[in-house]
Amino acid sequence: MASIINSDYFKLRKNIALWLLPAASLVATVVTACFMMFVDSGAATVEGGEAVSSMDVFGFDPAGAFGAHAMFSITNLYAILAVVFSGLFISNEYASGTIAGALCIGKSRVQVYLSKLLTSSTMMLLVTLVSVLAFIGSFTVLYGFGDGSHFPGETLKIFGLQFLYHLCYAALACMLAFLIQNIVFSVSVGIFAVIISGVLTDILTAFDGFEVFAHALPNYYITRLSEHLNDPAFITQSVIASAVFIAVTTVIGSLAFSRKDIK
Amino acid sequence: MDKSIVKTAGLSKRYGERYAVENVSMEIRRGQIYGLIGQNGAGKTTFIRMLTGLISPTAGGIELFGESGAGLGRARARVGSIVETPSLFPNMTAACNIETQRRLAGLPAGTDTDAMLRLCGIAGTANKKVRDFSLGMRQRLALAISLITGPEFLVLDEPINGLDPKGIVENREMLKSLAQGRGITILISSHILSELAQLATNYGIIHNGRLIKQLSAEELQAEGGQDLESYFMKATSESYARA
Repeated sequence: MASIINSDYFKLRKNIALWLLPAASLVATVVTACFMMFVDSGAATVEGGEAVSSMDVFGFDPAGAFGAHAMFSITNLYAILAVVFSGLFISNEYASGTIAGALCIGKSRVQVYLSKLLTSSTMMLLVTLVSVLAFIGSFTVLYGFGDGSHFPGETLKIFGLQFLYHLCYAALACMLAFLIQNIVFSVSVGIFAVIISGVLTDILTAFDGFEVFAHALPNYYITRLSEHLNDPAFITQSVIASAVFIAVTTVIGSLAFSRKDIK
Repeated sequence: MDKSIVKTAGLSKRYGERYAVENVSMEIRRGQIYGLIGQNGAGKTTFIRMLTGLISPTAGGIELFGESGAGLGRARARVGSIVETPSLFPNMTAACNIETQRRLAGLPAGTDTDAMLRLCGIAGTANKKVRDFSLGMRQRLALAISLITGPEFLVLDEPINGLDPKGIVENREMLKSLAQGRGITILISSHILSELAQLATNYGIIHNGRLIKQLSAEELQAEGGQDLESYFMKATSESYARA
């Protein structure tokens, strides 16, 4: 297993995505922060003439210490990034025959699968970290750092839970890429899954008795996290739901790959 | 040391009602250059894919270096292969492709990349991106990569496809030197009989998924001085007649 991981990390270092993806997320976060400031500056009053605070516009105090909260505004963008990167990384290896090459020298299918998942996870960790730091930095520049008393705890929670959420979709994309073995189709299905799971969460929560099924979807928690950030029970449920989602997709994907003929 | 590198018993692969490979029992012994001959669609690549673990057999068994079942993974670490198209990363240089394989195989650092490239006739291309390689150069690089692990058994599926005449000759000489100089056992599949006739020590003829004949180069010589092509045509005609 160590040798496959060693090889995959070497390939990742040579892959332009290692630099492109964090750079793109850095640009996206800075642009988002600036756009949010633009919206804030244009929303000084509402109908009736009452002043609207930045807190009302953003849902959080837009100081640097709370910058990580802005991650919730573009959460699905990163889910899509996770799907696209993981899907492309794995599908390209299928197309070039290098996954087959690893199997031919006796590497086990489960090891190959887990190594690709680990590589995708590393990329998403990097992207999440860059984005959180970029939001904190951007809001510090735009609004100042603010009250930092809750900064470490809240930022760590948001970082950890956002990373888990992105990891859910990286795991889903791995499963799809190993099953479908076609770049365009697997990435398209992955993006569709990101969109549909958000819609599905909304539909399930709208009907009595169906909300419990929504609890199985990572989207249920990430869309409610900013209101429940100080609720340990909700956070625990979120972590468990994400862990189960990742475990289920990994087990399905690796089992299916173990039985699949590589043509 | 195992005398037998590969043994298959009743190896079959079925897709629906159709057998791509049917009941193939064969043995490749150490030191042989085994030419697997057949027309397009005869089942050569399907057989090789089962041997290399890319597809699972529907029936029958494979023994590689005396290992079978769960031990096949261990045994495959002693095998180098090129199955159909070379497995390369097009956006990486030749040196990086070799380095990737070295790490994948868990080998210590210090591989003489230039020596491997020289051995396979593509010296001086270490820093060239694979996407800029011709098909022949890719075949050679794939061979260099498959030799990195120091395999005892080399599986080559149609390795001379896309090679120019000079490349075919160089490939033949290289494989002979690998077999004689390094003692590597080679399984080479091809439908270009004239080339196999100059290279292989043993032949297996596969037709409609079945291994219809196995013989050595000496036995072929003893068959009234027939050349490989005539023998092949006769064997496949007899197979049609029996069917």
